[in-house]
Amino acid sequence: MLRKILAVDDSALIHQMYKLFLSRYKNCKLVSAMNGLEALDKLGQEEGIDLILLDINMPVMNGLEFLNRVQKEPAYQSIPVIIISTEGKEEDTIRGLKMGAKGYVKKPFQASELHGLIEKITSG
Amino acid sequence: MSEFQASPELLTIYLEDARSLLEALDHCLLTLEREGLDPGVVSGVLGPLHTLKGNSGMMGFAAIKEYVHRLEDVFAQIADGGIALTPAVFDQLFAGANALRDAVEQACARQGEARDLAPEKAVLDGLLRQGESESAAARRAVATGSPIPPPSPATPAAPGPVAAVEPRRSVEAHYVAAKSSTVRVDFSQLDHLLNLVGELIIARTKLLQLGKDLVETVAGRAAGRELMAAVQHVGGVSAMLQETVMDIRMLPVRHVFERFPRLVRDLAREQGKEIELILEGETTRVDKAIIDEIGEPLVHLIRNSVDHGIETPEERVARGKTRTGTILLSATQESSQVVITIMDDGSGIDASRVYRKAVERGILKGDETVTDREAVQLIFAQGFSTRESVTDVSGRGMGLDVVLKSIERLNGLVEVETVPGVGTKFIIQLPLTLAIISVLLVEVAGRTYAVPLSSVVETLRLEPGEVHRINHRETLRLRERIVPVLRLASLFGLDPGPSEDRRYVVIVGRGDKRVGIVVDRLKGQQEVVIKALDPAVTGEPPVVAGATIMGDGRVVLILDVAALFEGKRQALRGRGEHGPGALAEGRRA
Repeated sequence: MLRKILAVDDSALIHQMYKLFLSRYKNCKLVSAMNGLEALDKLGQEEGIDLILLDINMPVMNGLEFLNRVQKEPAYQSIPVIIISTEGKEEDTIRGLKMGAKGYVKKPFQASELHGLIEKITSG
Repeated sequence: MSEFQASPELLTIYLEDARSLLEALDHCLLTLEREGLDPGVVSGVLGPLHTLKGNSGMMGFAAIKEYVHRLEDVFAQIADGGIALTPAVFDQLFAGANALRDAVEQACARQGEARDLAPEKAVLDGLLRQGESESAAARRAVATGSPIPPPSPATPAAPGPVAAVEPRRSVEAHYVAAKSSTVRVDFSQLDHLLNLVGELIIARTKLLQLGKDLVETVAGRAAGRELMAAVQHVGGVSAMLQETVMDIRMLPVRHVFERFPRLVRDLAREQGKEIELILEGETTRVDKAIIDEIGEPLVHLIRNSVDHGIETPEERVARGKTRTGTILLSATQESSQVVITIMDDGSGIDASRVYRKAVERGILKGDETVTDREAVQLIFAQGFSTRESVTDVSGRGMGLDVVLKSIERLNGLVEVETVPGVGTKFIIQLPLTLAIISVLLVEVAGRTYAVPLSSVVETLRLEPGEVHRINHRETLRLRERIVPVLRLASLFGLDPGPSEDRRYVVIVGRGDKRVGIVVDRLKGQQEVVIKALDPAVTGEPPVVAGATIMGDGRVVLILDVAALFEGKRQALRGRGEHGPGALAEGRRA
């Protein structure tokens, strides 16, 4: 049962898409952050985040640095992370998976891809 | 995207983002062209491009996404020194940026891609192929010890494991924006908020009045005093609220200025001129409503400076000037006004030529004498244009009179100063906000009207017999001038009352022109929140700029002083068939 998803992306458009795509998870709160640093703040403020959707290429603090910090923090280590990657940045995705991300979706993604992966990761 | 309709809301967000990302691209190209290769500048554009690529992909704009993807590769090559930044390459990149902008705008307008970017993409592919062979050559050059420019001393690798893995990250580490703690708000919501604050302020004034009345009647009661204290507190808070809302609406003029370097560059190239545009005071903040309106007149004045101001390099050298001309665009805040100046070191304006032209066009009579300074201001007169050839640049059928009109619509002023052979300076004064203005409240036939204080020159007591008729028009002698007189009562079709005495005249000005408005009483000045009026109410030609609601709930009309000058002739004819007089008659019926 998903209660809270943290979406990290520097694009307002992508956040709007998440809002659309994730509306099927009733009673699930969507928490948004525009970069890694803001996402760390949100992790501190919001309790009980079940899943993180993570863009890599962001200003201030990029996704890999954020992932690095999350993995070092015992309180957050166990939260599954899905990397939302972009074409041409395959090395970043691989690196993120090595750092402990549970899966990835490539932009542009379809709602069904995202749903499939979320369900696979959160059920297992 | 096949699974969902790109909703208008998503398209709006996409377009807004894309526009600012494309500005970043323009800015990067301009900086590179001006200052040469700087890996920091190149890496600064990679982030925005990446976001644009991702967003375009999400919207299903495949051709745009592909093009941006290529563009990323090109910039990566540029950062590596693989692609040499020649003027030809800049032209290709600028043309590409234009095409991309077109494609984005069209895709959003038609909710689907309409513009083919294949030719532009082929150009990028050509650049990339060329880049590959050049970087191979560069590597050979390094091996043999030939001098090539050092990549960059200013790109230290970011610390941590991230930077160590991917070499390109050292470039991207520069893509650092300020930490964002901002929220996007639709401007219409801010407008609504301001309206609500306006209502609150009106209610506050009313409360204060009621409170005072109560304390006087229920003398000495503690409750009365407490009520007054509470009312005053509400008053203080709403004043702060108003200030904050006004402040939120303010945007730096950078939003308008940032498109001009590109404009000047393109125009200069087209005309074979060399021009440097210097921007100053871009952080000066102005109400967004003004930001939205000021772009067009500024574009026109800048075009004017490029077209008619700055000479060709050859002419400049012959005149002993530098080859490159300069245009300075600056903004500063002076108390409650913002002053924008556009200054060029071009050929200046020839006052005698302007004078001749004005006579030719019938704007001036041949026997009128004017000072040079006055003559130069005639370039703003309706129907004036010294343009000998219609160029692509100024060929939009717009004279400077349009500039004057747009600035006046914003309650602003525009002036020109020039020294022949040395240069020209346009000075624009604008209020910081359009929403709240200071007005002089006047009374006519028992009704209250508001005159914007910015156009009031002086107020006088009108003695009986001071108004004379010249050519069937009422005039007033004001020191050495003859000033036409308008009766507010007849303008609005009110009963002027019998007696001539105990009246006042408000002298309003527009440039050097003056008009006297006859009123019964001056009621003092006040800050008011402007409410827009439907054109159906203001009528044609409009003499009302808007309305405001007073503390007692009465609606007070605010006079449009600029329109008074425009429609002066009709208005002075009084109750003719046309003009504001007729309009007022109609309204009374």
